[in-house]
Amino acid sequence: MNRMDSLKDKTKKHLVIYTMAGDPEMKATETAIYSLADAGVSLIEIGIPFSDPVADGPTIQRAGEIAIAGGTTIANTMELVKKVRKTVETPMVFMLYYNLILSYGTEKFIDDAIKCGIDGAIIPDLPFDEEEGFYEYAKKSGFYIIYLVSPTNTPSRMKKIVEKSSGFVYYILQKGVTGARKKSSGELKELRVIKKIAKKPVFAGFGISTPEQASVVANYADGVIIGSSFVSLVEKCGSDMAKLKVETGKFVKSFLKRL
Amino acid sequence: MLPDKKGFFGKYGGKYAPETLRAVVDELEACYLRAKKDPSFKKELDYYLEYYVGRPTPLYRADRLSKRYGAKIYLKREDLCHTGAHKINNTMGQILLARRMGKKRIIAETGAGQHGVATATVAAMFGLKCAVYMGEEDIRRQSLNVFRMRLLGTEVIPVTSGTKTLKDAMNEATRDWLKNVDTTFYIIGSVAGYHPYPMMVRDFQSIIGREARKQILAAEGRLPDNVIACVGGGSNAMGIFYPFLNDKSVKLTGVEAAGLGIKSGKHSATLNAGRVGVLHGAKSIVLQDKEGQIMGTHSISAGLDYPGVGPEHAYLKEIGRVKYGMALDREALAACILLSKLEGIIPALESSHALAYLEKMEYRRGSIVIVNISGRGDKDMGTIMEYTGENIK
Repeated sequence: MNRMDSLKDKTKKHLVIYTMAGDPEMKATETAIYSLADAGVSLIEIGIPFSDPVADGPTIQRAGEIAIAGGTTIANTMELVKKVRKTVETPMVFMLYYNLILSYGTEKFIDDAIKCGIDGAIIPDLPFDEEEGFYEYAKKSGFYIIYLVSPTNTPSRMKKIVEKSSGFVYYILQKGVTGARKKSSGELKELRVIKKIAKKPVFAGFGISTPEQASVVANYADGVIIGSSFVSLVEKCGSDMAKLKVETGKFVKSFLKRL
Repeated sequence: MLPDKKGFFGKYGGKYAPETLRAVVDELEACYLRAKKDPSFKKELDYYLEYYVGRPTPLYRADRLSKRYGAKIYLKREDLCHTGAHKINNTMGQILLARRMGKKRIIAETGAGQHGVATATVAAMFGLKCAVYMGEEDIRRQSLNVFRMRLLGTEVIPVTSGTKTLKDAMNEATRDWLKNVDTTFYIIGSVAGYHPYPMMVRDFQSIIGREARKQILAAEGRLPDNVIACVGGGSNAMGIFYPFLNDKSVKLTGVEAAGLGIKSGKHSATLNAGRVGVLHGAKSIVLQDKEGQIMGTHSISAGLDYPGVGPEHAYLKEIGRVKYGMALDREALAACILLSKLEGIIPALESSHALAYLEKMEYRRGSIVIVNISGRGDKDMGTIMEYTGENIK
């Protein structure tokens, strides 16, 4: 059993929120995780910062620089997860770049992630057809690797990615990097195609920042992924944990209402 | 024949690309493989290399330098290419592919500015829109090249993220490409990045080695004992080494930038001090801290200031075919001054690292050595003045 199997629930649209570990400090990440879980999100994505995040826009880049400067690592993020896991049942995944995993040790990463209560990983620079051994070990261990599908993928590649992704399929709503867009209709036509071939949940992300945009996308996807706009909220709250808690609750509610 | 179908040289290489780029990288690979077999592509490229770039470049016997070291030293004069460095061998090849793919806009990253200038040049010649990403720190160090690019009609976009040097310029160019993937062709300047770039850039640069091999046979009637080139990302070195790889008697040496010394932590000696990692789309050797964060680098030469290295170099080191040495900032500077005074050739500070290695070699009587002068030093006058003062002796 993997906690992410709860994402198969088709009676509702799922809300996934990304938060950067250690931005601006671990205490804030801890508060954010408790608050997100309380507010009823379906999945929490915990970002682990990398020095060269090519798929990320300015908001997450900045959060990552702050987190690295504060000493955030895979190891101390796992410590945090272990602590919050005592009470939080919500599925949690890591989002990080492959070099960090390679440096940590690929099998050790999976073993330790499972031990601390992480259910899977999203790795934007690891395509499904590289690192066969890593994929096999994750599969054997029941650790879900979520692969990303882009609107630019050829139909045959899309199909293979959908087949290999576990937990859900991460649909990149529009070309470019993470972060808010003014116009965010995204590539909904392709999303329809993927929904047709996927027997697993399809969640869409990249560029969704408002409940209005989310509600449009949710007409097509099983869930939406919100990253940069939540990271901006955390940034605004600074070291005020009480405020972070309240604002997180409000933020999540504003999205859930429209899904 | 390497790389294999998936773009690997042994365990190094690959296509660690975000999915949004996958289709265009695959398309580029297919287009390149078709072009490689197409005689009309070769004809077109050869034409521009001869009449626009100015190839073949001479293999010059440097007599006074030879006398100093007691060996016959030849210089492969890539500094005499149009724009002043080897970089244009590759940008010319890639822009012809961009035209074949119908792309209207070109982007590139640059460190020293030589690749940026070479890209801006061919973009101007073919009338394509061009944007070059360059770290703020490099813009300061290489202001002359920045102006050259602007004069050529290219937009130079300052990069303020991370270490503000080449790796960050590559990150920003990648982000641009992710956004504009339908219209834009990314001309990568080194033997780095996603497959097919390391192979393709090597192939375009290997004209250096093919010419040098033919020229030395004509001049000396035999192959050289040593071939030396500097290595940042490694394109000029790959270019000159590649045609000699099967000549087992020829010793090949890449020279990395040791900066202020390995122990100081201020260097760019990736193969000497790095370990396996994935950066900018390929698995290779990478300078990184114990957590896997990519390290800031230092070199007197902006063109070597890069924490990664082409995957084929990582492979050639592993199998022992190429030896990778190092030269310090001050050794490179001294070599630059020495060549200027002895031969009347002012080499780029990058190429000066290869020249500095001449001091560290042992020569047999009658040894023949080829050093790749990858570029000319005009762009480095500001840096050299900073180090030596204006009243250089």
